[in-house]
Amino acid sequence: MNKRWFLLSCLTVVLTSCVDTQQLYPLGAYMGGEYVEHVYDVWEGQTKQGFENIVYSKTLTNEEHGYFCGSGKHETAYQCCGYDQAKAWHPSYFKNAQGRDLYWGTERGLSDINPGAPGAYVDNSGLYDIIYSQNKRLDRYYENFSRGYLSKLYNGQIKCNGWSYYAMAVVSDQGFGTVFPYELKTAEYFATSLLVSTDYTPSGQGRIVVADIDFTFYKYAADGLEGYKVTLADVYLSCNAGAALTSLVGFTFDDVGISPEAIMGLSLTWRLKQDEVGATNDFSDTEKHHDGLSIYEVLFPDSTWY
Amino acid sequence: MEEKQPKQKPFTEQFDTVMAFLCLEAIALTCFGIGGATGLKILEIVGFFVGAFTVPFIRLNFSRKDLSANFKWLIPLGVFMLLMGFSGFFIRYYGGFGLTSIVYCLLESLGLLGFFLLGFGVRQIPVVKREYILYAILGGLALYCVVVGAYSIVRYGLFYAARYHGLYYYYKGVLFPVFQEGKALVGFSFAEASLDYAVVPSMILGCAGAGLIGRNPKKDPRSFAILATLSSIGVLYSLLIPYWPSLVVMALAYLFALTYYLVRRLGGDNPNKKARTGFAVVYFALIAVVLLVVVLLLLENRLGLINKLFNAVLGRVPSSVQAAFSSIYDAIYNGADNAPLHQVNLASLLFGYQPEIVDGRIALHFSRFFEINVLWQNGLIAFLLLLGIVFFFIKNSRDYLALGKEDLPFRIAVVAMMLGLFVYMSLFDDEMPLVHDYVFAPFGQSNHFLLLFFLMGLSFLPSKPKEVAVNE
Repeated sequence: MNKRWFLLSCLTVVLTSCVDTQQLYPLGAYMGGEYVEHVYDVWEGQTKQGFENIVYSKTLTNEEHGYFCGSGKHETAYQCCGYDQAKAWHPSYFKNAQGRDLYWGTERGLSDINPGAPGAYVDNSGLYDIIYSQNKRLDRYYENFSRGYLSKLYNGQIKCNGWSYYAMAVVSDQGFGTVFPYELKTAEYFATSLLVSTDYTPSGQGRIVVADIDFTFYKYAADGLEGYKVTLADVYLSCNAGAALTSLVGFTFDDVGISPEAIMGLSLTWRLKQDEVGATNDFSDTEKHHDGLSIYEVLFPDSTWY
Repeated sequence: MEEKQPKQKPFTEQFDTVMAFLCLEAIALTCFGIGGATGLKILEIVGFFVGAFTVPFIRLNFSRKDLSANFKWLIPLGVFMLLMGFSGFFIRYYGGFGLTSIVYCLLESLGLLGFFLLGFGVRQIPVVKREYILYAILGGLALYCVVVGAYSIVRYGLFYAARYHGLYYYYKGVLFPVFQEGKALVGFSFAEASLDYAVVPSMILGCAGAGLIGRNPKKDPRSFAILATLSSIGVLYSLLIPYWPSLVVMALAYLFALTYYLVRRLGGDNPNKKARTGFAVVYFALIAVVLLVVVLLLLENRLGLINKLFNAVLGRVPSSVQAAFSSIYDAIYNGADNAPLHQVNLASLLFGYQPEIVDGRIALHFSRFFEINVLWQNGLIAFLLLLGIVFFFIKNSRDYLALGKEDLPFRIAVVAMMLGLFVYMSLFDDEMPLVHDYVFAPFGQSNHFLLLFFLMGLSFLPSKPKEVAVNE
């Protein structure tokens, strides 16, 4: 009898673990010919329930001690990108361990990734001390961020670079939620690389889209998850001006008054406030053009995790 | 009064047990592939020294006259070993002319020599039971397969290549086909590798199961059980993925063994004579075909015959074999920086192409045929020597099967492993095997190549024993 139980438990372990085959996709998933097929709206684990249990919320505006966003300039879609605002307010975030400047990846003809075939594995280790996102990428320090569809958000690639949908996740009004492979221990700030993608793409006519974006952080509570929501009001993002024109958007945990310790998940929801062409982020609406929030990277720079 | 010193025992009596242990340990660790690339270099040194220390045992059975008369056939093998280490390619790869590259190249050559000597020498140590040699090889391979196989099942589940066929996973934002990868032990950590590469140890282990043919389980139940257990680990490893190319190669080894055994058993009054005639016909026909292919390869840019043949055949063979054959063409005609073989300079052609290395990556297309990779990496001379050595050892294997001193199942297992390894690497060699990393792992500088040389040494018959018609 004991032998039978032993064998049964061995078999159970074998058949239920299978870490490497848990998130599998057919070739072309989220990359089909239609823009609406690209939307990623998965809420992992209990994040959807956690979203209904918000225990803290704060709204930030685009100002020092509020949130930083791109260059801080938004007269045209072509200047509404980059990391200048964050660098001006927090210069120390953009230095490497030797105290030298880290770059966004457009200065001096630099790229945020080494050139390679789109979607093919690239060794970027040569850029670790040069490019900001390569220096701070989560999968460099914590291997488990390397796996899964959202691993594209932790690989240091902060803009398209010809990789198209390999590089980003497109988020609709449904948002998405993810559970991190570790729990956060310490972090000074949170940052993402964002732009707005669209299926309304008249050639050469870039535009600025204004949105409210909610980042909800989750921690374990006695009865599931509890959410800590940070709303960024009136975020100006580039749209249809070029897939390289992403903005570094983020805030410090001191400014939002949340302790980063024990954060184990994140969700992103957003509301489209202004788009001159009248597009919607409701992808079920087939009458209108669509705007999706394209998220390229999630960073908790210099963080430590359990 | 001066005390008379007792006469010291000769080395071969004093250290026979130690040497037996060292020989078996060296080959077992090599089969396990302990320590990855660094471990391999250490094993090459160990293999060379342990192999060298078997020379006194060889001298027990062969006089100086015997050695000089019968080992002359091994001069090309020695030159080949030298060229496998020292080539334009590897000197460039290890950083150009310098102490490091010379040491690395020398280690490779000495390692091959050492393991050949080790294979030949271990047979000459009287205290070493033949079956222990087989157990050392299979034990190392089986340990690898159990460790990696268990990890693979935990990570992927059973039959994953079939269950998840056509599915991909994301790793660092890049899609990888889960059904084309397996786990491999690299150094002391696991890594994802192509299935072609990941199954090599299990394929060799499985092929050894051919030695069960002709082994009577009632007569020798212990040996039968050990061989059956160890080789079934190899078969199961490939079966639980499942991966057909390795299973097909194992089946080929069994078919070969069964055919050989039946020919011996049922071949009439003088099976050796009939078998010898059949062998001679196939052997010389094979030499003629290979020579023809080599000439055609070298003249392809003028004749274009192989291109036409590929185009005619490719649609009719399985995709894995298609890929293997296409890789020859790719390697020959787009080999180095998309330059064809006939455009490289004479020195590169003869002694190995000197590749461009950018960020540690080699600008060279590798073939799935290890022989073609030898042509690029070690040059035309090494390639031609390799072909010669292959044919020499085909004939040697035939003699070994017929006349070797070991029992027939042992001989069949040894030849089946050599056959399996040679056939498999001639179709499915993967020299950039790691899925998530750029790691150059040429077959010619691998632990399995050392094993091949060990097996060649083990089966080498320097002088032809007197033939006797036997029905074993």
